[in-house]
Amino acid sequence: MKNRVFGKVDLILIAAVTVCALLFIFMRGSASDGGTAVITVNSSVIEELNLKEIKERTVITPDTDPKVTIVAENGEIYFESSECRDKICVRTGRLSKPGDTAVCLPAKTVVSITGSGPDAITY
Amino acid sequence: MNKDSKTTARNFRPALCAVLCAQAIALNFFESLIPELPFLPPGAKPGLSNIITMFAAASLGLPQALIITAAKSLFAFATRGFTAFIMSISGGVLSCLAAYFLLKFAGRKLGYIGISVICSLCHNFGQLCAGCVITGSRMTFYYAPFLALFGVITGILTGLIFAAVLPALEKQKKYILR
Repeated sequence: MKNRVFGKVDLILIAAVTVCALLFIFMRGSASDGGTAVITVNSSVIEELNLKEIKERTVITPDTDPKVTIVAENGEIYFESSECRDKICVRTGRLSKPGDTAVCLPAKTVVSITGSGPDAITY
Repeated sequence: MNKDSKTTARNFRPALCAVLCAQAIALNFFESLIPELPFLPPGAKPGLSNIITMFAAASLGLPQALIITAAKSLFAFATRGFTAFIMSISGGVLSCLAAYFLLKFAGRKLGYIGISVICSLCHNFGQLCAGCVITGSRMTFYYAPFLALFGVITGILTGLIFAAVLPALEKQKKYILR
């Protein structure tokens, strides 16, 4: 093997991907805040919550294996705890902006926020 | 004499493949010891074992590289369960195919870093698709831009390490297939 380590094409590739990714991230950030949190388990929607209307701490425990505990409060929603191994859903943190999503793969549970405006997630 | 050494080399190819499997699994295990950092996407790993699959794809062939990917995924299954297995094999196979075909057809234009970055992106894409199938929700693609950004960084890193350890891997290959 006598390939190069780094060349012009590599640089263009890296720059293009970085710019695209950053564009997507910033576009998402500019979306209007406040939205509806949708909780999906096993590809069916089990709960829709309007985060602005929720004043008290609301705890949702869908019937999943492993068990997950989802909490909505102060316009945010998050996985409070999960019995799964990796806890990626919990580490994702609090969701508040449209497009924000937390996934627990073992429990097949997705929590995401959909926006009201046209600038909501299209991807 | 020459013919003799040729047959020996062929007989030891599975041994080299097994050693590479062990090295890929060892790198995978090493990665699991790295703590989660708050500014990184949750669950993201540098993908150091891609160094081994890339080498296998380049110097042994596609079947061997796929065997190493499968071994890695079985290790994930044994230690982290079924979901981890699906995530490992979906990303691994795609990344492995990308490594093989890029090294074969685009090796003149792309350097190791570029190839490694594309492999890393393919790995993430395969995992996103698997996540999408498991949960039945397209929202998993929300992670895409974050993973792409992270994939570029880890791709550069593994590409650099690949270039650095390539002489050692070649030496190991020569030693086993001598």
